[in-house]
Amino acid sequence: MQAVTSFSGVAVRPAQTCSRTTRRSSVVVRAEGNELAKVDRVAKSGGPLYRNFTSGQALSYLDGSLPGDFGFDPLGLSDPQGAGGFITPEWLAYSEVIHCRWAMLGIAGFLAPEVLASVGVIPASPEAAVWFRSGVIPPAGQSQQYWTDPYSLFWIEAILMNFAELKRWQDFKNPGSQQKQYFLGLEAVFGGSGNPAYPGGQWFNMLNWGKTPEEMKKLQTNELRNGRLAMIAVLGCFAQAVMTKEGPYANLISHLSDPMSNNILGNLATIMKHSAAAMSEEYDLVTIGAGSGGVRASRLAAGQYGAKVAIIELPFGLVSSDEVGGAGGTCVIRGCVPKKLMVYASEFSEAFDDAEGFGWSKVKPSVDIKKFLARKAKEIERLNGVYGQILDKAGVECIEGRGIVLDPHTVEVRASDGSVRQLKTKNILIATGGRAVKPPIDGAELAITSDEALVLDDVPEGGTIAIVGAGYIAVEFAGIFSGLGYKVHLVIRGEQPLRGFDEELRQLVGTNLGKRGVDVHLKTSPIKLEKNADGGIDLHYEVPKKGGAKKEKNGEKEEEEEKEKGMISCHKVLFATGRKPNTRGIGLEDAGVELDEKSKAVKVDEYSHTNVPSIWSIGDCTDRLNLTPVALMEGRALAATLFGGKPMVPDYENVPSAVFCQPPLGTVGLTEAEAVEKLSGDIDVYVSKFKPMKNTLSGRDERTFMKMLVHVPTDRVIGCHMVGPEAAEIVQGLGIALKCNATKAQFDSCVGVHPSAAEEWVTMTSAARRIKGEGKQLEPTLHKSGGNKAHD
Amino acid sequence: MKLGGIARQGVACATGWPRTAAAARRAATASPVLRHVKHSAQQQQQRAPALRRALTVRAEAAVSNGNGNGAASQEFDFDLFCIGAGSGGVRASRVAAGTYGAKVGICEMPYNPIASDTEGGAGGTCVLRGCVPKKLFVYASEYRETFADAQGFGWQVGAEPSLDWAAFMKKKNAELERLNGVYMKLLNNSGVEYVEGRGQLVDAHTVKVGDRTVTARNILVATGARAFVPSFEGSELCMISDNALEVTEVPKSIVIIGGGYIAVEFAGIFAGLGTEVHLIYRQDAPLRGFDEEVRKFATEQYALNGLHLHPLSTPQKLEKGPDGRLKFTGAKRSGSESSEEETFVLDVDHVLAATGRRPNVHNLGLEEAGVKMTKKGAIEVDDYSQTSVKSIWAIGDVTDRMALTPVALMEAMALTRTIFGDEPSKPDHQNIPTAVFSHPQIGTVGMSEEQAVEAYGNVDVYSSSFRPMRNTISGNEGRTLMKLVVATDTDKVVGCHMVGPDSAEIMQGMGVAVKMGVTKRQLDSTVGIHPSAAEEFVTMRTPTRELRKEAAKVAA
Repeated sequence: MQAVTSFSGVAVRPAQTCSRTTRRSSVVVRAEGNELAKVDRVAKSGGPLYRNFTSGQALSYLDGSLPGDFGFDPLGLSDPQGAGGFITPEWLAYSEVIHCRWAMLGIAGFLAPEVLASVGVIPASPEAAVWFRSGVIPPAGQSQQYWTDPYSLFWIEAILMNFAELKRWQDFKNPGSQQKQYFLGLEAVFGGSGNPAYPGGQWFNMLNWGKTPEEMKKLQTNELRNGRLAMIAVLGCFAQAVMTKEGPYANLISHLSDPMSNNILGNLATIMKHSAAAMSEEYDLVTIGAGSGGVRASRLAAGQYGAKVAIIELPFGLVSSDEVGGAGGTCVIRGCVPKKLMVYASEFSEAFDDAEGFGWSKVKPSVDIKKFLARKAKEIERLNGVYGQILDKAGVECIEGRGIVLDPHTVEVRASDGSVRQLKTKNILIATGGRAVKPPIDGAELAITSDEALVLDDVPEGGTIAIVGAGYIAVEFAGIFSGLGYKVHLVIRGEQPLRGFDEELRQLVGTNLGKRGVDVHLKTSPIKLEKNADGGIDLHYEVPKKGGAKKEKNGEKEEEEEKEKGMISCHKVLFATGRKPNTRGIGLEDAGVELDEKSKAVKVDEYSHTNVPSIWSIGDCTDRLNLTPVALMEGRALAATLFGGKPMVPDYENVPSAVFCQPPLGTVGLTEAEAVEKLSGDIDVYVSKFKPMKNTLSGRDERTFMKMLVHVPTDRVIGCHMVGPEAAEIVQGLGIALKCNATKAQFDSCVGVHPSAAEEWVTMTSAARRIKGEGKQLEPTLHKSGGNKAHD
Repeated sequence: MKLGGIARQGVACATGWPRTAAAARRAATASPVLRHVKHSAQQQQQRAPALRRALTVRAEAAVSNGNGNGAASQEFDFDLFCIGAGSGGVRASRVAAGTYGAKVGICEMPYNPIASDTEGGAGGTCVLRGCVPKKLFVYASEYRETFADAQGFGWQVGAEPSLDWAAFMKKKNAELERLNGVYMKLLNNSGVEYVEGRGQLVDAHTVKVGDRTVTARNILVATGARAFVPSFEGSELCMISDNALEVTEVPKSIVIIGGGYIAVEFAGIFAGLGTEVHLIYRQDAPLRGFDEEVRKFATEQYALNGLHLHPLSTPQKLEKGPDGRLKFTGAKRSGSESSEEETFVLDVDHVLAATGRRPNVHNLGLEEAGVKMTKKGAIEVDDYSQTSVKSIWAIGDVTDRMALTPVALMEAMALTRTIFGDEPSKPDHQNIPTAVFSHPQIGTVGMSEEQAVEAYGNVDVYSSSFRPMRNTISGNEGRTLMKLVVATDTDKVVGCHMVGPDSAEIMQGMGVAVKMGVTKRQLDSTVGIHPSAAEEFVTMRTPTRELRKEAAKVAA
């Protein structure tokens, strides 16, 4: 059907060319111009070999003495005196000419809409204009709107073509009859020679070509030649469509862009690879989601352990949705990487200020945000490609589409072109990550999330951005936008940013934000967002009244502080109010996978195993410790557990992490509050707060802060926390030391790197204070020398 | 060197550190070596029997030393007198006085950023003409690249900003003076008596400072080192690093002789400031002693930064033209094995000799006091920093063990523990992390690949070179190299090297880990900090090279 409907773009009706011809004259022409007309036939006469289902007559030079002489023809179609009997030699010649013309028109019909749509001449998307997509009716494929809806297109085409074909058939059966048996009397004007194949006349041979028979014959031969080429080309287009899922024009462009790999052999190789994969009946692992965790688990499973693995991911896009994702996931496309690039970009304003202190002349340049974002996008696309290559190299089959769990061993992939594919698998890995959520307040739809913040280019220079949230994403964006020259308001519900981090660090981060010009609104709750007259947004909020007394509310017992209202007018509002697992609409409930009631995270055990034996889950969708390197660790442990014969449990103790606020924060191990809560015995707190050497000349009024916690009875270092330049780079090595169960004595025995900030970590001589642990744990967790608590 | 850090420590010394005042001092004076120190039960437990034996031996040596001089009952002016108030001397003095309550004196010459036989200043090389001013220069020189990088990130910087060198130097010198003051205050707060002047040994217990003669039970020589200029025709026209840190304007062109860390650091500084820099060194790559791969990679990066490298070259002649410019003639060998030479001439503003440093041992009265010297001209000391004369000790660059500030500090800490802490301690010179603040930075701890192969035979090398994330947008061509050297048989990480931004800061934590004897498996089990450069050290999964003893034999 697709092939038939594809002709809808062609407005020519070739079948009508056969009207007003007569059979008799055509026979004469044919007798003169066509050798086949004179071919004799020999009847099947009881020859011994291969007669079942063969035709009754063979051509005379095929005398029936050899197998195949009569041909396979159980209906006797090519047998003039047989049962079916209409495929005469005359018919063959005639039908070839007609097929040639169909094919030539068809090729034009394949190409024209696609080319015209891709250069924008016709108002259709290139997607819809590709020949095998236009007019396709569901369920054969996804519905594409091309000129009109696919149903109308289908019926218009079917009626017109049937009419044309009918007329042509009548003309062939009874040459010249169309002049009499006309439909609306219009056919009479066509006139012509009476030869159904070459009617000629003022309409079919306007320029009066082929005046002599020789000339005519040459033209006819050329037509046949071109027509045969066109028929091959149609076949080629069919094959291409199947193999590459692209139209001929797109294929040509892709071939020209890389002729060495995008050619028939390359495509055949791809197909064979896929079909070989499809032939074995099921996968060892199908991963849904090609983010950090999914990619790591899949490529180790395939590359290192030789498992048969497929990974499913949505098409690439910078802002995620139910239809858009991309290999690399949050980290690469809309998290860590673009964030860090933006941090780099924004840090230059600090450098410009500092340079002045070192004697450089003052510069206050502005930033061309569009130029930067374009370069950033290019880099992200490159990384996305790299991830694809990594998977390819490891032998993982990458499937584009949305993966849905049908049952514990079946995953359905719904591609964006509407095609659906089912994969049978022994194991399923859910690694779908998380996404930003907005709080349910009035006008929340006016706000953006971090996805859009990373491509934000429409805030005027020096414009105002309000960020709602106190987590690391909020704090990082506050630094980024402030550095890029925007006025930033940070709206925090609590009393400090960065809940969960060490108290002293939180305080310093808050101070630093203020010093860098961020307007921090503490204890402030947003109530609603409204569009304002200037095209911006008004953020209405509530704060406790200064000096306001607590009062009883509605006579109920709960007490509430007296509130006062306020408003911030800004160009954009960014909600950095948390993320939730992507676990909806992927069939988890139907497959019986248990989700956490509140967070909707996939519930897993320490091996990342869900309650369904064949389904596993890692990364942010399990909401354990939402960090890329943790997902990588989980991915690695899972691959080892499933395919390495080494059950491995990821170890969540002493995971170092960083917040790229400015200056950054680095941390590993327990905070002071956690240490007090967990451990028993004395804890020494070593603190160092100093002006970094660079600031002595730059004049920047910021201090670096370092804090080390030592469990006195064991001398173990149980936490290192810092805020200051290069904190992320510095804390990585300390993380290793803590993984090795480092003691304070071992830190002290290490010589400093001079002059650095990090050397302070090995030169802390006296504790600032000693506190008492109030917990039960007698000693800090001991890491085995094997690292991950592997059972090996 | 973090200034606030010092200040904080100063305060800590003054208020929090145990200063048992007169009582402790009396005890110390009565028996400086065997002074009884209360140890917690835990400290006692930790001390191994071997250490206890060492303690006994040491104590005897000290006692017999006292007897040998017939000085057991002699009253000295000081328990410890230190010659030289650099990093090592200051640390030893203030810990001896502040922590152990000893009576301590220290002498140092008057302040001047350029050292001579008559001038120096508290703080020493590190603070006045080494680490600190050098790092400030590095900071100042980095901005030109920052401005260029900024444009890649979309900042419209426009015309390149100009540098007011005089203003920078003024601020730098004010900062050095402040630090010099901080050091004086540190000494003062710990109760160390400061004597200004050049100290000279008279005998095993006597030091002459100017007109004053003092006696001390123990004398510490911590006089450091100074730059050495090789002799060639016109070599007196060369400046040394002291002068380079005091140049009144940024030179247009400079020749730097030497392939050590000082040479490459100044090369990076001046290149960053826009100077045309010629680096003249004898080997085929600078930084002899570093890992070969690191040397090669760093050399490539230096060339990328626009340094004019002259390998296999030696200085021949230096002449001053009438315009005050210098004409430098060098000779370049045609190959590392070849002796064929070709001379070349460079016309430059300055020639800096960064050709090594020599211990400050002259006119110190060392011969008179009978202190033995090494062949290389350093003071010979044992593992406890004790010289051939029992009452004379030496630490820091003057002993030419490992000429680094933090090493001198470590030696000082061990020394005070040995003399006053009743706990003979050897400084541990193994696995010391260090950094070269060239452009790009180099950080390193432990063995080079070559040393590891020599020591262990079976070695796995993990090496990774990449373009830092920042440079993907800035367009900066600089790359980063990270390298781990693992002893295969024990899985121990025996060497860790890096060339690239923040190498120094990253290497500190790696140093703690390597010092602890971290295994590759433990590295692998550590979770990375994403996105950072340092995380590469915990995510190296496949060895780049697996070097095996057997294979080496076969090859031989």
